[in-house]
Amino acid sequence: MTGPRTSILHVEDDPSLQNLVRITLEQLGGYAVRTAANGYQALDLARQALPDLLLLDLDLPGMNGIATLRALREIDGMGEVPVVFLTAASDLMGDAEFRAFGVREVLPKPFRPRQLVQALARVLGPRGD
Amino acid sequence: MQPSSYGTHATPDDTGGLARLVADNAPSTLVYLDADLRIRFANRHCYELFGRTPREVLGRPLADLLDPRTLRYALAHRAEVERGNLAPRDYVLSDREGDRKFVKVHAVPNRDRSGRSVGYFACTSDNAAERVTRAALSAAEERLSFALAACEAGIWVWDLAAHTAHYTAEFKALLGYGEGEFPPDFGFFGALHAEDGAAMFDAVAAAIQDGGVFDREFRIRCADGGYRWLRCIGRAIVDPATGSTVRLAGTVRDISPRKQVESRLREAQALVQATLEGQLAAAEQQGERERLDQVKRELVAAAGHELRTPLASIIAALELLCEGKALGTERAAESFLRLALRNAERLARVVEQWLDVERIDLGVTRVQAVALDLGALVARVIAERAAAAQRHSLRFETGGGLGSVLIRGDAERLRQAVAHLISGAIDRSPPGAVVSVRIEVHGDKATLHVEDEGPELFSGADLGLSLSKAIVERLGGTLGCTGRQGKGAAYQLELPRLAAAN
Repeated sequence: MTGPRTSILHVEDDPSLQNLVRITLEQLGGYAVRTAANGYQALDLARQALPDLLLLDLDLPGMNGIATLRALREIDGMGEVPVVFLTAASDLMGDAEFRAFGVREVLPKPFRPRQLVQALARVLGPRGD
Repeated sequence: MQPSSYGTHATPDDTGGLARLVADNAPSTLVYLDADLRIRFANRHCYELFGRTPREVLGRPLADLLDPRTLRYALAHRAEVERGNLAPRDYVLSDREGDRKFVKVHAVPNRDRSGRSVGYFACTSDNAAERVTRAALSAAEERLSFALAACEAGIWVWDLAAHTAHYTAEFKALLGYGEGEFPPDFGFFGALHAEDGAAMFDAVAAAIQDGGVFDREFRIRCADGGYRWLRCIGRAIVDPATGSTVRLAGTVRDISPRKQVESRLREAQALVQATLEGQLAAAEQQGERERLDQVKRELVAAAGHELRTPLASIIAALELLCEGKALGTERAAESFLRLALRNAERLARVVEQWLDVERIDLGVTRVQAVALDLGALVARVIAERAAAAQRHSLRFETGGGLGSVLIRGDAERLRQAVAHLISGAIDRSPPGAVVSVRIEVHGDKATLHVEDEGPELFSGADLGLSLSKAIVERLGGTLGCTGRQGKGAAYQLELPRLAAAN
């Protein structure tokens, strides 16, 4: 593997899922993962370093996933970062609404780790170019 | 008239003169008729009665004095007398001017030795006064009859002493009986509708005993077997000598048309009422259905989130376990199993909680209501959550402190509800925010306000909130949630207060 690893910013309030998604993405996908427990932390982490992909939960305490996404898009360089939602509340929004926020994929919880990695790879496209 | 024509004086040995004297001074008409009904003797009273002179009367046939109808009546009277019936008969006689005179005529045959009638002696007792009264009555009756016919009223008279009842033709006509069709054994009370008879009987009995009037409406069976509504106004006629009721009399009028209108009006009112009630019930049902649908949607959404999250962890952990490559060490495998176990337990708690909502909603779970201090309860919950608040860099603001407020509630259930509100506020608030918790007392209500600086109204459903709401409502309170105009969310938990402990 040449160059820096692809960086993923994961926003999730559930501690178990924070762990499991981190292990999945690191071990199965070979990605570099940073985890935020809520929208405020996500903003801090994104300002420190821009991620290559945002993996967002929709039901977040304080600022929900959509509000977090809106705030993240305001950060310089974050406008084009691909976004994937991983949510248990898959029926709260329609596909069209998600697409309007530049959301590339909405994955339901529960998820299969192998399929999660495959979906993110699809969104990120061929690596190493 | 010449006074000399009449017996005004006579000597004691003049039998004829004495007879004339007696006859002319008798206060009644005296006449003798021969077998051919020619008038052979008449007294002064007779001439005056007919307004004629003796010449115009004596020797003349009775037919010259009577009109044809009265003559036929007189011939029938003679036939009765011949048969031995000497009862007096009432005559209406007209004089030349057409004035009617009412007289009672007693007639006695003058028989020869063989028993053959050779003449008739007739005398009258002048019952003009009685007759005038009866004529007046008759005329009054006639007028009344017209009046009653015009207003379709009938009259009935019950003679209590004689046990007889009299009903006018109008009364009979009201019941649909033509002339001669009225049953001779007509029983008034027997003809009343079963539902109306008792009340009418009571009214009549009261009138008899108290000598009063009564006014009742009832249905009565008619000639065709159907019932007709009548209004009866009656009164007792009291004998002033004894003070007891001797007769009852009254009028009846047909009120069927009015009753029909009333009945239709009632039907129409009932229909309008039923329609309105039906619409209201339907609207209520619709409202209730919509509310239930909303609750169901919220619960399904809440279940989606709260069941899927731990399930996601369990499935991810187990799949990673199966992916031997990811494991590395035995220690990692154990940590995955522990994660799965912890989330399975969490899942079990969520399921329990969900069932709790159901049980409380159904009233299966008893929520006890005992006196407790809401202030102390809230303070305990805040103390329990202090560590979590510190982790989020949050501060609790309790205004002037949480004083003692007595309410009725279930300590454990209420603690659960309050803890949910406060935990939610902690979860939602951004770092550094303030969570305001205070209790206000208004009259017989105590309200716990929990306000946060998180999103105005968080999206998604909240199973814990549903549970809290069910608990609070079971305790006779309410749990509301409002936005704070962009500054966060505010929850109001209101409970009935116990009388302040002084």
